[in-house]
Amino acid sequence: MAKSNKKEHIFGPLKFPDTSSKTTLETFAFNGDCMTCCILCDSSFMLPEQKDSLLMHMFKTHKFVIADVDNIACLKSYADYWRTRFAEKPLPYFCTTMLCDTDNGSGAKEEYFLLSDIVPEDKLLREGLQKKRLEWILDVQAKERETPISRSCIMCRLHFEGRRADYFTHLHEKHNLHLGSPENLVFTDKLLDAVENMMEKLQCIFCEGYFKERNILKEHMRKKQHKRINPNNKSYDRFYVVNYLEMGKNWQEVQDERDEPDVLDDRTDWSDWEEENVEPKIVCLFCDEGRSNFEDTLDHMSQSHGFQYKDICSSYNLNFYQQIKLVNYIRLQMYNLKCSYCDKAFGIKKELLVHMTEENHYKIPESAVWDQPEYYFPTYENDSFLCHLDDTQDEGNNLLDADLLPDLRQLVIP
Amino acid sequence: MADAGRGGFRGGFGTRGARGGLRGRGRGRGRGRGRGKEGEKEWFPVTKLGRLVRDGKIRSLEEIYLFSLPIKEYEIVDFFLGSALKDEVLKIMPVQKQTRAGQRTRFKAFVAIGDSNGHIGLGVKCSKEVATAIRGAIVLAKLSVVPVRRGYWGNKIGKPHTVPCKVTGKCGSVRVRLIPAPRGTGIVSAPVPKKLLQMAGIEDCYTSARGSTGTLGNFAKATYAAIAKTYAYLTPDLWRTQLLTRSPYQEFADFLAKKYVSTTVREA
Repeated sequence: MAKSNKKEHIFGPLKFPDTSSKTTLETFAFNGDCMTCCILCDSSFMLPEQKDSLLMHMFKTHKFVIADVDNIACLKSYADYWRTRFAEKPLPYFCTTMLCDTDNGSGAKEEYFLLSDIVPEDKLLREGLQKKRLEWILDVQAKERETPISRSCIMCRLHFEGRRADYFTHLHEKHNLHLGSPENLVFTDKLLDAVENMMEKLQCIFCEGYFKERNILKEHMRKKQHKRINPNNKSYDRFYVVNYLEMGKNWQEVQDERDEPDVLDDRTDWSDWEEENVEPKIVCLFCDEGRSNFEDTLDHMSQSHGFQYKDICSSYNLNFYQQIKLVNYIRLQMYNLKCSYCDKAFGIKKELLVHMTEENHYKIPESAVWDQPEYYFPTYENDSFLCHLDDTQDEGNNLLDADLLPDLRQLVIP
Repeated sequence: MADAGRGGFRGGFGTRGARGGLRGRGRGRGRGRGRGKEGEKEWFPVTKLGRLVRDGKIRSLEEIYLFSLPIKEYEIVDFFLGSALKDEVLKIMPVQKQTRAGQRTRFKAFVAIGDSNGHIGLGVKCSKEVATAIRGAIVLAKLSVVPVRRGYWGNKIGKPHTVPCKVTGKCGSVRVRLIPAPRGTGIVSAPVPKKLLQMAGIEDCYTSARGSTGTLGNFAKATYAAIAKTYAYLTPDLWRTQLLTRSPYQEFADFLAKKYVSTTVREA
């Protein structure tokens, strides 16, 4: 390599930025506090602290009640949805009207409005929010499964670094502390904090009795086999994924449900795992435009840069490996801000693109320049362009590459 | 009932869980913990192949693959590959089914298993608790383990590192093609097949995917099918004729004819 290539030495892998994002309105609402307005007027409340105030306000001021409000997965989204709907049609269209006695004892009746899932629209909305919340919980759990944990053991103060599953296994095997299978848990950090707090306050996590000293507490938990969480304490419910499964059903009810026998084709079907935008976008070879579809990227390149990728491949008769090398060559040139055709260097990307447009250098140089073994290796680690290259031209050869043919001939011909 | 045998219960959470006396938070919790703590549970094979494996008549998993014998007990795979097998949960997703009682939501777990040295398997299982679904999926993944053939791209020096030839796998509308790559390339593919190829022990590979790759389930299965095809393809270096050997069922027919006697008597 000549000295002029010094600045082209790349230290560390190149990567395209991660464009997949999955945050929606609901994820903010599930995660923390959010401001929401009353469904029927403009007074705002901060959820979840002021949830009771919101409900009381709607009851007193608007005579409006939501049925099973605790089962709604995301009150903010629910309120937003109905606010727009109530602006279109009057209340009695959706709500059941109830006549109740007024407080002042005059015998007159007042109308109260109840919004419940008798209305199919409401039922669908509730189920949709429930599903979204469950998926969000599973997402959080998946992220937790990947991030390592770094904290000291609750019981023995041994500092632990590594997978969460191993932490819980340690608690189970060394200290007999059963918090649950780590695969069933979510928000594990908060759970461990909660348990640790109880222990610090010298309170038993099962019977919730107080003790004078840590040793006495430990002895009590060991003897009475109270090294478990109190199953009736609802504040621990949010740490167990099974409680998010179906609306209003807590783990005890789910546990009691009969397990249906497995229907083979239904349960072992792989095709219902669908996800959008999980793969990184396919980035144009010259600029930073990304598309989720390979054909769209090719269209962009031919429209914005006049670069017909497929035509070039067929006119130069490029096989799969040559296409790989070409793409990696262009990527490297673009990274080093050099024209792919004439090798002229520039200071910033804009100048380079202007040069290439003016001189019409959106072309490839002769093959000796880019058909080099160093371009077998991908310039960018997560380059999706390379995963969509067509090698159907080699179909005729039936899998034996030209480079390998001489070796194989030696094997066959004795 | 549970308190009666306090002294006896002290050691084994597993037995306590099995009796169903003390409930923890959710069944999966108790079950999962119990199995781990007990250590190795005695395996009583129910298939002929299981019996042969248990008694050491079969020396490696490859002998089973050579005769294409179906593996119906996951303990067989565990026996040979054991701790080398690492499982990875690809996805947990909720699925809903309409029943008379309304909608029933369950967790579906997709799991891949491999030893990063020539074996890969995929499994999927549905259950009402995440841990149960994962455990069931791991069992199914172990049953689906296939050998992976690796080869060279150019010079045959060092250990095989890439697929021996171009192979294609398909599932649904997704077509995945694996293409040999020179040493040091790494795996050039989308995240899901990359994980599978790494777990199979393939170090370098190019991929080419067609079809609706958003259906990650089919994408994963197509990659698995392509990896499995590496041993299905007859490359010229395998053209040499080989002698036909007897299958283990024939070779050990006398042993199998004997009634299986367990060494210790255990309560059911």
